[in-house]
Amino acid sequence: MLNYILGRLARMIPQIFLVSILAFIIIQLPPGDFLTEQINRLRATGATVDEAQVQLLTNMYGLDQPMYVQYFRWIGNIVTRLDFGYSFLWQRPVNDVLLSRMGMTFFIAFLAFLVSWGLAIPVGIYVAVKQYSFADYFFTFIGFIGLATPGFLLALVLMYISYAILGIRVGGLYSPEFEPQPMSWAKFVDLLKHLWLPVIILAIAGMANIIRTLRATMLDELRKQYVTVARSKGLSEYQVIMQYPVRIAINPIISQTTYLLAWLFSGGTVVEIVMNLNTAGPVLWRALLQQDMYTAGAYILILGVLYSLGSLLSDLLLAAIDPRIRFGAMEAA
Amino acid sequence: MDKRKISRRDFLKVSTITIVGAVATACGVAPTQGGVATEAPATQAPISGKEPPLLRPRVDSGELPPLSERLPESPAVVGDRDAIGVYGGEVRMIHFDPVWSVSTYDWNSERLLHYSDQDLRTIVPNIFESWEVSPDGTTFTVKMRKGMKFSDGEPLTTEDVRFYIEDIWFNTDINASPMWQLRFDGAGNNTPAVLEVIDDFTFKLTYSAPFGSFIAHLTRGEPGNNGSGALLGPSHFYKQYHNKYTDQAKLDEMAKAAKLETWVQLFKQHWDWGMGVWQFPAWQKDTPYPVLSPWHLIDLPQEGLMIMERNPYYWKVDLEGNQLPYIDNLRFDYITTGEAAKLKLAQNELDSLGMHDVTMAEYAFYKENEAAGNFQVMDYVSVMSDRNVLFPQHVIFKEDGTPDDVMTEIAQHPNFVKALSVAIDREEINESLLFGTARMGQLAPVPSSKYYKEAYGTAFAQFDTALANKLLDEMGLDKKNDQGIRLRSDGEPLTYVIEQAGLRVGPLTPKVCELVAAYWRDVGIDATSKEVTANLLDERLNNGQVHCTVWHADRCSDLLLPLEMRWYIPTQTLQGGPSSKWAAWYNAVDKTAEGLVEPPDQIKNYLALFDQMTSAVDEDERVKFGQEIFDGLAENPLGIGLILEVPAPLIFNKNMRNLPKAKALMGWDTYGNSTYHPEAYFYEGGTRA
Repeated sequence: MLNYILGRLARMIPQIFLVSILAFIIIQLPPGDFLTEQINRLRATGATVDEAQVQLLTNMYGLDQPMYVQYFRWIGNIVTRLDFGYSFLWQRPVNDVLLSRMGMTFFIAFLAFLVSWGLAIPVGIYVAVKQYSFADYFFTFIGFIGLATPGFLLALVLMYISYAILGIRVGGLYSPEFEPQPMSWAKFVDLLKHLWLPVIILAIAGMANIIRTLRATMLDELRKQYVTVARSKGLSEYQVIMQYPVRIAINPIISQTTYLLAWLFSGGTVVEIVMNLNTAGPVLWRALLQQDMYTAGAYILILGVLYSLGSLLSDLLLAAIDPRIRFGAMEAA
Repeated sequence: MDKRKISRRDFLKVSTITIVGAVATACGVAPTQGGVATEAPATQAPISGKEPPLLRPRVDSGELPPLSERLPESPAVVGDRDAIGVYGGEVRMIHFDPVWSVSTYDWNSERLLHYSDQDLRTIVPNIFESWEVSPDGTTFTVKMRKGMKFSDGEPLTTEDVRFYIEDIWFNTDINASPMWQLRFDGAGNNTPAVLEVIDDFTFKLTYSAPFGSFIAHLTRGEPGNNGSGALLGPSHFYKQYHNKYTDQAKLDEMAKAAKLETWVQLFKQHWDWGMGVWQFPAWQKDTPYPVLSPWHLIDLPQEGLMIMERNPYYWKVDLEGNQLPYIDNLRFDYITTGEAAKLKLAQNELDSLGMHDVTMAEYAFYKENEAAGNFQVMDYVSVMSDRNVLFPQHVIFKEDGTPDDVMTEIAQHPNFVKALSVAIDREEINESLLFGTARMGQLAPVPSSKYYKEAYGTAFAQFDTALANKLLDEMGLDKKNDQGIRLRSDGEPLTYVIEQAGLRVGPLTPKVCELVAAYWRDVGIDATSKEVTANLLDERLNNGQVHCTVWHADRCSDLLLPLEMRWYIPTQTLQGGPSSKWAAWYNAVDKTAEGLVEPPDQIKNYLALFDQMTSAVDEDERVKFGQEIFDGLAENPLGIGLILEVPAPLIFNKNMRNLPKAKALMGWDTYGNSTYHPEAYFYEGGTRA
């Protein structure tokens, strides 16, 4: 088992290295850079910026160096000091900009994760057991709406309903009067008042997927002979379902944790933008638009690393709960 | 289809009438006289002004000196308002972009001089108290206000001017060359202006040639800004980051702590290259930036959220001597999208929505939510956002970077722009997108400008498909392929692409471009509209690879047009104008440099006339030179305007008073609200509705 984990970890190193190169290439792909963007803005206001001035600024920000030099400078700082560089856009170290918002992004995503798994797994099992019942059709219907509707549209519709019909203030994380205050109990309550909507929107999108997957695999398993055997041995229905088919049917859900971490980080971006939440999503989106290269690079890199970590986590979880994988891996090792 | 179009049109006409009626009642603030900062001589200046209540405790505790010691000897007096205001309240605003905080300049900027908002023609004192111009227009003697202070209490003197010019503009580590307003000599030789400091409050700038529009350029100069006539900034603040005044080792240490590499980077971070006081970077939390504007930043609870408070040392008073501003706080929230802004508006979470964020296309939404959102929708005249203008490029290169002779010949043929212009049904655009509220016409100065002539606004602005076809036929584009597309001289079908930066230009832009492309297809041009990012568009414009682009035409009133003619003739690259290639030639110091495209004589003549406008000492003469350019353009247009005049529905809280009168010009030319003295706006009853 230890060998398996070590081997799995070793595989991650080249993976992340490749991801970091890709991240750097991607942020360099669009024409121009932050500087040209700034200079264009300057010119737009009527200021005259001549070529020599541009050259001066380019040297100043090191943008005239060859790409590989820029890359190694960037990745070197990240590896040695966890320093993601300087955000031209916010005029602050990228770490400050991201860290202050990352917490809220994870908090929202974590709540959404709890809600979606907490609801989807029991429902998925239930609709499989009661196939073609009213409940099955009902949740299938809800599930397909969740699958087919993009999060931002769901956000717009729910925002409209809460604002126009229910008369609830929407948008943002806090009411404007609480925004500048330090955290307090009243502010926290205010936060919860704003948070339920994005959490539901994110959860619905995740739920549908889980319900459908779980239902399909459960249906496959329920028809197998070992279930009949278990029943014929006189086990209670609860034991029959929970001890055997569910343990197998849960595998594909576990392997989805590959995407889970990355989803926690990025899944809400569009919803966050639509709902005007002051979280990491909108900041990173803005960074990409305005070619704030180090912020954007940090985003892509973190996303890539989370994917790698997620797949590691799901492999380990699967090995832990499914003996077949565990023994197979050990034999291979 | 036709039937439907007509009924929609009629519907819109009806709804426009009701809307206009609603505006008339909504603007219930009786406009007595618009206002201007009346310049009262020191002897008349009131002495018994009231201390703003917010500052009273600080004065009582000794933290602040009393009002009389904070004001200059002769404060600027803002008179001619509707009413003397009451203190208090907060204005909530938004911004979309943490760096380019355009909403901030709208309310909170001070320029060295400014135009009176009575007539928008007379330049009146502001930061500078008075000035004198030598008869030949080469020497400018400027007097500053004695006792005027920055927001941190430090005095403003000629040292702030000397430092700014000598140690920033002419320091080659910081600037490769100073802003052109400090090296204008009418001959392109870049002879530097000579500064002479006479005493603590008087200085003199001398040029080697007449620079008639110099004083007007000072109406664009913000302290601490980069370019556009900025002549001063808080030297005591800058000096701590400048290697001439602070020990190099200490600077290196500070740069390192801020994760920067050189002292120049450190200095520029605090000089805010280009953004001046508009920008509110994080370092301000520890080191407040001294300003001269009505409000100053006091807190940044999180990135993007800015809280400003009244500047205790602000140097303007009302007619009763009360220190301005009336409103205590400004608050700016960072917003992700325009939709989020609309939501905030409807939920009564915004008190002012400015030039960059309003559009006639959303007029129905504003009126619907006016009552629930507790705001008033104003009826101003836009000198900016909705004024979409098409700019056919006159020098065209192929994608591989070689000159596209066929397309360039077509683009420069005098018939081509005329044909494109008359092929457009401007009224249909007006009615389908702008509720019929705009006065459509050609790219021209706004009708209230002294440069305006009726002929400029109507030149080739009629809708005449037959004429368009005739003009195109006559220029040799008379052969068509089986799809009805005209064939170029090389036998290829004439494709023509409008490349535009979408919402970055204006909320209407994508729709306008779709309509225009359809009109052009009707006269046999295979026209399409394509949205690209502003960055890519700028790069392609500089390469000459764009057939046609779109921008919003500000710089159309007397406030800014004589200073920047970029939309009409090629004086500046990027965004719009007749050709970035020609503009690059105009701006080049060495006209023989490689890659430059010399414009034809006609264009060079326009550019020479513009230089004469800059130089001319006599205002009438300047207008004459300008009109000579516009006469030429009316005969042979270079750009295609759609809208001559369109309302700007700015939004304010229902309780806000002393607002600009109806039909006031509003846009980049007026620096948003700032020409209209937002420091004298106030809430009826001291609080918002």
